[in-house]
Amino acid sequence: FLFPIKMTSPRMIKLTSNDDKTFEVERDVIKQSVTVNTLITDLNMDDEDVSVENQMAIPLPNVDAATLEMVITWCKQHREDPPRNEEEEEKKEKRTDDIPEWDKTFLDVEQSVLFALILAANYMDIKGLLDNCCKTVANMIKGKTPDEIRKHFNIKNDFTPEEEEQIRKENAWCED
Amino acid sequence: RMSLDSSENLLENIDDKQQNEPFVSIEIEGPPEKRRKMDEKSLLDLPNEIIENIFSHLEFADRSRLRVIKRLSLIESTIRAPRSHYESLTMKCPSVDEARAVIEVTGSGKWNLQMSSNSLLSSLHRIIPNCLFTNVVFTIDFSNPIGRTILGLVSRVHTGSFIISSSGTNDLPFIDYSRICNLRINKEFLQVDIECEVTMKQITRLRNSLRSFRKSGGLKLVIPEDVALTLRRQYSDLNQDDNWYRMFGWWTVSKKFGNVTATVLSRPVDGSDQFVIKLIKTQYDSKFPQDVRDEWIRQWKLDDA
Repeated sequence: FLFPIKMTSPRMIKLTSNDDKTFEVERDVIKQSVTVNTLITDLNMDDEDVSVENQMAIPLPNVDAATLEMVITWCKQHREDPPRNEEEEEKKEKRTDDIPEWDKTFLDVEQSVLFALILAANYMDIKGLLDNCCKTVANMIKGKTPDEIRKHFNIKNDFTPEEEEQIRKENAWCED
Repeated sequence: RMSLDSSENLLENIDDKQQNEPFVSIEIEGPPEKRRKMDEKSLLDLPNEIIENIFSHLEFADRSRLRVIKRLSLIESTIRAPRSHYESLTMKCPSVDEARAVIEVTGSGKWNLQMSSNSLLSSLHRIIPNCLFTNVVFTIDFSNPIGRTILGLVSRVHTGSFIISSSGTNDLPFIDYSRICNLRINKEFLQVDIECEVTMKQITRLRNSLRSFRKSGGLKLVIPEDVALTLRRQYSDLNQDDNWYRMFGWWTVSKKFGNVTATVLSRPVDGSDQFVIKLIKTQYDSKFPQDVRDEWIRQWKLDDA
């Protein structure tokens, strides 16, 4: 006897960027976004009887298509990551040399793209992505002089020379 | 770019920009002063919690350096963020070799020693990497045959100075400085108590540092008569040769000229880091040579009271 086997395709979720581009992403992938996950639960979108075609797309008004695509790529790469224990993370020593190689390459982008990604990760509440982005920016700051930091991030110095000198003096002890 | 502190101006500017450039691709969530178009965004335009997240991954030196890049209260607040879990730490007593110090022995037997020691601050910083020392109390326990004296040290990074003060009353002992200190920090992170013992050798080094400092032009010294006498007597009980006088240079005068007690008071000159030393009470021994006295007054800019 042959029994019909129900093929379970992965549950898909639709996300719409602020420039009206819609992405279909596996439920398991996008669960890393606390914001999206909460929306799915609150809107009862886990109902398997609703086909993806009839499903409402979740609007992400703070994320553009290019950034959303990157976010989804990151989530796909990290779909097997164990769930984060935020309490444990808080206790961990803060370090920036533990960014996975894949993420390092992935986040090796222009500053504006990286900042957009940071904002998207923050909005979508994807802690792992946000942390690695922040670590990447921290690495850009590390070891640089104030002038180099200003130049790198296009920050205008608004101190008077006297004020700047005073702060440099105050900082002298930790420059040893 | 505008300072994030000046939110009113910022809002006006944002409104202007929005009128001139109606196309807005993406706006950042959060307080209005953070609203920016994507292509205008810079590191410091990110929401505060993200900037704090980024800064939290930086070593203290890097974060301190950020203070210089721009006038931004956020930077100041993030480098001063309390770390309440550092409530109990252990450290080795840092070297005072490079210390420049100002010492004050008050009438109640208190010592206040202001020190400017980058190495000491650095040592503290290595133990407590996220603290900007604004008010650190450094307590030293003296274990000695006579008893105990506690010195407290307050560091103030902003003025580049420390204050060591004692709560002990009557002993200047053989100090064993080599012990491990216990560092306790209160929840507001305003105070660090370090208990340690100080060796004679180390106090000698401290004395030398103090001498260097004296040569460099600053000294704050108050030696009430009763304290000076107590110290001399106690040290004499232990050492026939009254070496205690040599522990700190300026006491040599007391020893050398017998029945001399001096109360020297200094006050910071307004608007300056320099201290003026004022001799407010002097009882000169008849053997006190006039030329030495004159030299002493000249060298220390003392007013002969």
